[in-house]
Amino acid sequence: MRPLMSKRHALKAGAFVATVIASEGLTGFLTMDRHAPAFERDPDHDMERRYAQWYIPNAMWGMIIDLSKCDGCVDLAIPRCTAACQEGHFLPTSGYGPNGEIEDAQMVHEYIKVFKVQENSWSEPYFFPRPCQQCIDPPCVHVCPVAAAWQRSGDRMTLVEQERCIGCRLCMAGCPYEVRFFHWEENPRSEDPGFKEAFEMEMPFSINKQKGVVAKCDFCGNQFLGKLPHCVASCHKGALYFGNLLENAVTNNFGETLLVDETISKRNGMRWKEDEGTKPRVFYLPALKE
Amino acid sequence: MTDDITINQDEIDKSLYIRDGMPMSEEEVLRRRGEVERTFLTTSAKEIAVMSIFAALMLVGFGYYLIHQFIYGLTDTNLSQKVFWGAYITSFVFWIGVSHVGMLISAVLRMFNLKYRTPITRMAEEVTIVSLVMGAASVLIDMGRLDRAHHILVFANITSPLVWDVISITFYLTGSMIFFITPLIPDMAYYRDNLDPEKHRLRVMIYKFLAFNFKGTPEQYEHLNGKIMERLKFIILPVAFSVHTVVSWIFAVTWRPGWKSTIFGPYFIFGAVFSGTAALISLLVAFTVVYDLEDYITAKHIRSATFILIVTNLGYMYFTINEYIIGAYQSEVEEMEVLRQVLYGDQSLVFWFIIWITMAVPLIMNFYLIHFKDKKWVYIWSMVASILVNIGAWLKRWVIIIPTLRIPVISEGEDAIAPQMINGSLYPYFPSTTEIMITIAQFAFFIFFYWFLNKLIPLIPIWEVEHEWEVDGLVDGKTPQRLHEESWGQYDRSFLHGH
Repeated sequence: MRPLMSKRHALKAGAFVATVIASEGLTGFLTMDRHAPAFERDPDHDMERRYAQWYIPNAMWGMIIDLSKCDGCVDLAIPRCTAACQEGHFLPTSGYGPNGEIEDAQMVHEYIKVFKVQENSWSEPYFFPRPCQQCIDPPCVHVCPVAAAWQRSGDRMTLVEQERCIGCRLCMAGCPYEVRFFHWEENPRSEDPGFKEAFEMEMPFSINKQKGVVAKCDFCGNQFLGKLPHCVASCHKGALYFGNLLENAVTNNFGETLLVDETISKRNGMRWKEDEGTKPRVFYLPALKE
Repeated sequence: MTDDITINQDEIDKSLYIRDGMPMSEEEVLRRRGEVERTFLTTSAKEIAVMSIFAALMLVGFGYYLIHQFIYGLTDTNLSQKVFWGAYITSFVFWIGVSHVGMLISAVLRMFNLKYRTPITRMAEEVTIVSLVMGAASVLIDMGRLDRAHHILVFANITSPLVWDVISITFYLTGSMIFFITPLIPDMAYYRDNLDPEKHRLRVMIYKFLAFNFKGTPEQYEHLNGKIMERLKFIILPVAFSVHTVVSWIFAVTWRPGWKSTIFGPYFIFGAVFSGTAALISLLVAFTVVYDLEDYITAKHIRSATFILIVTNLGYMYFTINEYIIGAYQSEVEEMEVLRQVLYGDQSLVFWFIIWITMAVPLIMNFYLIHFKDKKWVYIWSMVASILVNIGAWLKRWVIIIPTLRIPVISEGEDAIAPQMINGSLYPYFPSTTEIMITIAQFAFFIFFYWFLNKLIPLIPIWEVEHEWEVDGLVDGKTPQRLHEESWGQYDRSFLHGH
């Protein structure tokens, strides 16, 4: 009787099965669950990362920016929010000239930047502060080859793990808001008084002293201490509101609290580049002129 | 398997290899082998002098890298927070593009069974390997943290186009190495057996390794000619296509105007084959003229390769028109900010130089090649045309990458210009000395390493060419096998020893 399967065929079939199993394993290795920016995800996956536990449960931090209040701080060379951010994060500022113009474009890190925008020649120009939009579906996390750009499971903050970043700058290309900044050289302000303390204590994941890695706004992380981010706390007009979107409340520098849903529907609040599908957590209230 | 192919006299007349219409004598075959042996077994003082110029350029660039960039980081470049990719990424796309000629020659021409492929296969595969290495090096140079390069394997995130790139480039490099090493075996075995082991101790050692215990039996030749290469050519084609497609996706997956394009994959593939063929033609002409290889590579080969250049040139023009004209017609605000620079802004000189001088002129030159009776003019014109194409290929990558990065993220209206903007609205970028020196060093490295490789191994696949002569009826018997039956002393090779 003819054997069911010759030795050669059996070997071939075995090799095929082995290949399938191996490629399954490889795929599993490459798509390690914790790297994927999945929506519903077990928070335990990120536990080996730094700052993974630094979140408050049931929080979704967000910002509302009232464009009619922002005056662009035209009295200053650098707007207050930008300056406070750079001070708080110990960011290099040596790239600025005397009048706030950029002279060395490598040494300027504006995690929040104020633009002067004019939609068309009929409309009045207004000022547009731009922090990281903290997308719910962030492109930077998708394109990062080493998953150094990652989204924390607990409150879904997009963070950068500087110990892992290889400095390819693909996330800078992928970010539609251009809020990611490259540290071209070792942070010259890492010798500043207070740097070490801040690095260890206050808001560890937003301070960087390494060269050749990417860093960005991460809403300061002061929320654990019940504080507002530096930019929000420094705004002399109270144009920036910060808070937990799940609690439906945001607060500005003067303690004014807004209801998120009500404010957004009444004031026609919108998100920047909604068509990119990134679902930002920063809402802009259009400028109203009295 | 190929033994029973019979070819009639008409086809022999049309064959590329017939010089005088007469079958070759054995002495003639051996003399032609000697032509190749002269190129890699001997090195004249002049060659060493020219090679050391390239080596010096290479070392200067390497020195710049070590002294400036490795120590101080990327701060030594003129890149900025806005224009964060520059000359290195331009070079990366350029080198990966050049590498596609190996796929074209080894797989496509082999598939269509085009005979002029045979003597130029090895040179093409060498271009592929060296330029792939240069492409990978460009990315490593551009990385902020070279010390963490292994992270891309340890923490690989499969949704990243860069990881796709690592996968496909690794596959392509491996496949090209197989395409390079497999047809090398019989030649290596021949020189392992026939070189004087006292005189060429190192060479014989290397050849012994690369010959993989090849004995030259008919079964082994059958296996080489049939199974391996016939299967490989179908595998390498999609791999090579994936490489440059994925490189284009690094740009195309982003939101950026000028990059956000669905035709970037085929556009880059055409550009790749275009520049790769041009690089090969330059090297073919240079090596043919310098080493007098006209018994193997003739003006006919150059013309045939030029035909590929014409086809890809037209294809690339077609894609360029699609990409730019349609973008201009839609005149989306952000798209127009890119196009304004490219078409009549400060990048327009580069763009129109590419279009007219490095695409239109070579196209016309290549069309006119057919009118030249004198091979000298074929060589000169194809050399000039292909070098122009190469220059244009690098610049075209520049025009794709840089203008997109220079535009502001927020369209700030005609009247209002943010006080913190550089230069009104566009961010400046021009490579720094370090970037320029490292880029030049990459080209020097390519030429030096390519040349060096051709000093180690015969740059013509001798056995394959002779096998074709045999198939064409130009040589009696099984010539490739006879390589192994012959002894070294039959033919006077005294020139190899200098005098």
